[in-house]
Amino acid sequence: MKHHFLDQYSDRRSPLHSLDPRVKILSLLSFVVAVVLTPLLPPHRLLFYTLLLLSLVLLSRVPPLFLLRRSAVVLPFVGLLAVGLPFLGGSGGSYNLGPLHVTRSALLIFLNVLWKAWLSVLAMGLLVSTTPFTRLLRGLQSLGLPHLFITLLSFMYRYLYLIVDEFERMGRAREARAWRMGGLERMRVVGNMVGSVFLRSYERGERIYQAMRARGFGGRIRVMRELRMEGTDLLFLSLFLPLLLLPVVI
Amino acid sequence: MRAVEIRGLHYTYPDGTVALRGVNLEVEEGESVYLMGPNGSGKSTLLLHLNGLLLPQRGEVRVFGRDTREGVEEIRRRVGLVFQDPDDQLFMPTVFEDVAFGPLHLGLGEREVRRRVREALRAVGAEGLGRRSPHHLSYGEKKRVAIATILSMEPQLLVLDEPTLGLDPWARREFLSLLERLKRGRTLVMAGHDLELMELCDRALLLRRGRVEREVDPEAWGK
Repeated sequence: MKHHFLDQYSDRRSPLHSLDPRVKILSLLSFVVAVVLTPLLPPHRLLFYTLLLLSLVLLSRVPPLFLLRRSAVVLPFVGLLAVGLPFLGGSGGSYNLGPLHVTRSALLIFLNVLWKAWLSVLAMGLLVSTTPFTRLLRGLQSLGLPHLFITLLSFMYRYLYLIVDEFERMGRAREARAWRMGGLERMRVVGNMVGSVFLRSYERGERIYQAMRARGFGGRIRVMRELRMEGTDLLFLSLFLPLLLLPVVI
Repeated sequence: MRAVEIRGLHYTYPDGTVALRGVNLEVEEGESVYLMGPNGSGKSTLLLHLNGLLLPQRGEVRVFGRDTREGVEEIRRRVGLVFQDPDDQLFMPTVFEDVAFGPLHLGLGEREVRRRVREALRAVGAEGLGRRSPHHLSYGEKKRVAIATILSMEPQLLVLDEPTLGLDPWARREFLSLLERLKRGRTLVMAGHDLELMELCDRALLLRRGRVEREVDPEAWGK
């Protein structure tokens, strides 16, 4: 079984794919900071950032619809925020939405958060879709993220799919024997499945540790430095960072 | 010098399961030995003793003349252990990193590590899989790469637990010829219940209830 829900499309070829992951991570961070620090009004600055990001999306050859769908994950969170809006005060006139009143400034806050959150998540999605997960980890590591954290993430990446497979197999075995099952009964069975997947993973963990020790592991994972900055990486940075500053100057 | 010398080895797991009750075993250098026996006869437990992952509770285990209780560093350098389930053996995010894991932890330099990874992958016919994630390999590919992760450490004694288990007949045939090649110039200890694999070996021993019951003739078995 193949799963691809982490870094789908990251094995394609495009100018963005071939950039050094560190360059992409730094660009993402500065993009998010720039977006967050930009005031909503007048809107042309955020519009500029939006266009900048969308042109990168086109450059990346990742299907834009896929990225847009993915970036929709922010909606529930921002939607949660919208619930509180009628209770925010503020000035600038108000609108009637059915029985509720929303002030103009509250609406602007909502729009502000929605737009910026969406831009940030879209940018993050672009990073993940253009960088294989392992290279992303290497990048984070050489940018100074703690070793333990990187190790944890890389084991997660390696074994997450295995655990999902195991769960799916169990689910199928259950379906095969008990296809008509009430809600409560079903929940009880799923609970058992989670427990047994946990136990299996725990035992697997022990075996993996043995396999590591058998190959000389003594507490610290050593990896090779594989990343190399090239001319195009520096070129990208020296173009992208000034572009981010552009709306501030004009 | 003998590659392996085991005398009166006993081992009981913490939960009370008695796995080994007085195993004696000798393996000469350059020899290939097949350990046969039903499930639960203690094969895997015995193999774990060969590079000091388990230490004898009673009796002694000597590998290349060294007692495993007196330090395992050198022994792990010379003994390569391939686990039964390749998903336990392959724990790094990419094949390359996995095959490089052993050499890197032996403290080798980058250039030497790359050379060894290349050669190990070639030896098992897995060139070109380096950048793949182990999860995206077929079962046969996983098994072969698992061997590469050990070959890259250039061990003198190669220990394989159920190497052909779960392979389809085609993958298995390839695998047998791979093992045939690996046998040359190395000491090989394998466990399982694959009769064809047994015929490939110089000697075969029957394990039962934690003891070596008797030696069997690999050629004459079942005839």
